[in-house]
Amino acid sequence: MRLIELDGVSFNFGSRQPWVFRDITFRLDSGSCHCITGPTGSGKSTLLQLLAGLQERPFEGGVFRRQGMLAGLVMQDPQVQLLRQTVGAEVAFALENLALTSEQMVPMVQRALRRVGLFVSLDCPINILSLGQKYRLMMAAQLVCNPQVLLLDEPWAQLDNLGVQELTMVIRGLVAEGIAVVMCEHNPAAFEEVVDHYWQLSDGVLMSGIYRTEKRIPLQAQAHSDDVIIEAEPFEYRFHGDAPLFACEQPLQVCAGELVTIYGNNGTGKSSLMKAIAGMQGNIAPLPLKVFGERPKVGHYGQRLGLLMQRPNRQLFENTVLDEVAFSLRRFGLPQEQAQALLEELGLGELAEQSPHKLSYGQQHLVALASLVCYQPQLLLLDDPLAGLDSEYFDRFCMMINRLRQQGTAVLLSSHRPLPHTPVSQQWQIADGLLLPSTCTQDAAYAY
Amino acid sequence: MTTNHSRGFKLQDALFIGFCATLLVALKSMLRLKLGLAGHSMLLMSFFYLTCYCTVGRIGAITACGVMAGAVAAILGIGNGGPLIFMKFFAPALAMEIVLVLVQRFTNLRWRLVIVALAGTLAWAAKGLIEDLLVGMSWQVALARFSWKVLQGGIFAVVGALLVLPVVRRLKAHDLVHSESKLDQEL
Repeated sequence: MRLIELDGVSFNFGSRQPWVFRDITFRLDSGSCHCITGPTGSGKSTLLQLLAGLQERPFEGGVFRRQGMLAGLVMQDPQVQLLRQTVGAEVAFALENLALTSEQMVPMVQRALRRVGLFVSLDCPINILSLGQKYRLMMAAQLVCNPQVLLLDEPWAQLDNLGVQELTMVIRGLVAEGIAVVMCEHNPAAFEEVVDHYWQLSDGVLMSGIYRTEKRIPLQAQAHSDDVIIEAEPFEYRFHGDAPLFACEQPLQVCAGELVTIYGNNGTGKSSLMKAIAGMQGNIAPLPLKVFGERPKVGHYGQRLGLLMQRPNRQLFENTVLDEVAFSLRRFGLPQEQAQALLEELGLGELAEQSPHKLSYGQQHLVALASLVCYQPQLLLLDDPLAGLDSEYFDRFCMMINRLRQQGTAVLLSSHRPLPHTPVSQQWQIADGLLLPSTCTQDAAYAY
Repeated sequence: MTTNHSRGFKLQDALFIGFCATLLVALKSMLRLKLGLAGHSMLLMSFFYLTCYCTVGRIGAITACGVMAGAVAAILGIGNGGPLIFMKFFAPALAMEIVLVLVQRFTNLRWRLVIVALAGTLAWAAKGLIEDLLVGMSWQVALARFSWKVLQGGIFAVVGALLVLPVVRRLKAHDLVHSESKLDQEL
């Protein structure tokens, strides 16, 4: 049964703006699962919004949408969709609008949360969930209404491996029930068990197949110095009044020039640890942690520390990409001409005059990173920086990190899964309430 | 091929106009600035009316905002003009709208906003002139007061107008302004 059909649809963000896509044709039938691939910033998320009927800008072409059809969309940054304070209220929001009684709602909400593998109480405050858990929450909030179409924007980047497995099972069940699923992905292989149509959106053209690019620039192995930047005695990480989130039973040390990865499942405490190192996490028990020989304090380190947040739009505020990068330089009294040069070097020159707030999630990540790299901090904290990056943008990311490390910057990078083929000097795994550091020798690093 | 153009104010435009009108009245009532400077109310009025116009990008936005602000002020009893408080908000809005239509094709946006703000000041001061004459003030004194109000109100109105562009450019950067008007391209 035909649910949505695009017939010769063209779209751009304004009359003088270039076309995001031109004359595309797409048909979505019930019980099918489509995966749209394409480079960062190619318009995949925009296409999903169009399919969901949320695109308010004018477009050309015909769009058929089955009458009474319900479509659920989970955006790349689920935070922008959250409306309520607690998990139960968030999932029940749509049901409340349908005037269901609370007796009817509770089992439906619980079932939706179980389907996406989010096992928290209905009273759990949303603000303590990790971004990956919020992604699951938004999926539950869509599934509770039994939509005929489910649209998912880059689920792999926001979910850990367990979450991807659970989502694969959920999608399989939905497809079997006749629900159509469309997802945008940079890693299409993760869902190959359930996807039956692959599309590639590139240069404004949508065609069958998987978009592939070659990754050319690896993260380089580097010798590091003995200058200690971070040191910590064994500790328990706990929020005030809560049980420990995780414990570290060994001392930690990070020296200048090191690349350390922190990986673990959604909600294990990676982002919280990053914020604690930056001195931004206020409601935690004091940690025996020193950064640059001092207890972490927000705003204390100035040019020495850079933090890339998991949601890059939280640290973008200027009107253009060029201004965004130039702001950091201006703040620390560095020559502002470097901003344009850095953008050109990163291949972002064409975005210089664009608003950073309108860029794709991956592009925002890279712009936010450029605004940190430009002032060459001695310690760079990257909270899940690879979300939304295709191979080409990952190359640019590697270029920046390599350059910084050559200058002695220590880099801490968090991710849902260990980075393959990456010559890291240490890996910190957070699992089962324990932070387990492991050191990789240079030989092991080169052996990848 | 078909194109989905909408007519009239879209929901988000109408909400923004209502937001501007409400905020204008609320700020005016809450701040209750006793600065002793005639015309300082033109700062908020020109700022909100012109922000409304630049964001919505349609003729009629200022008048709609003025009507709404005047109605809210009259209903809530803001200020000391009684029912005439409606005119205090509506008259400048109408004057600004009319002048906006006349100067729409001339000069750049910044100067257009300044001219429109000054037109609003004239209307605002004219309302005061009529009130003065109605209470029996002599022509000479009423005109002197009118001139003084135009001068002081004009300064505040121009300041308000000059604040509009940076604010609207920031709104546009955040993808909150996306009308397909010529004005959108000028920002």
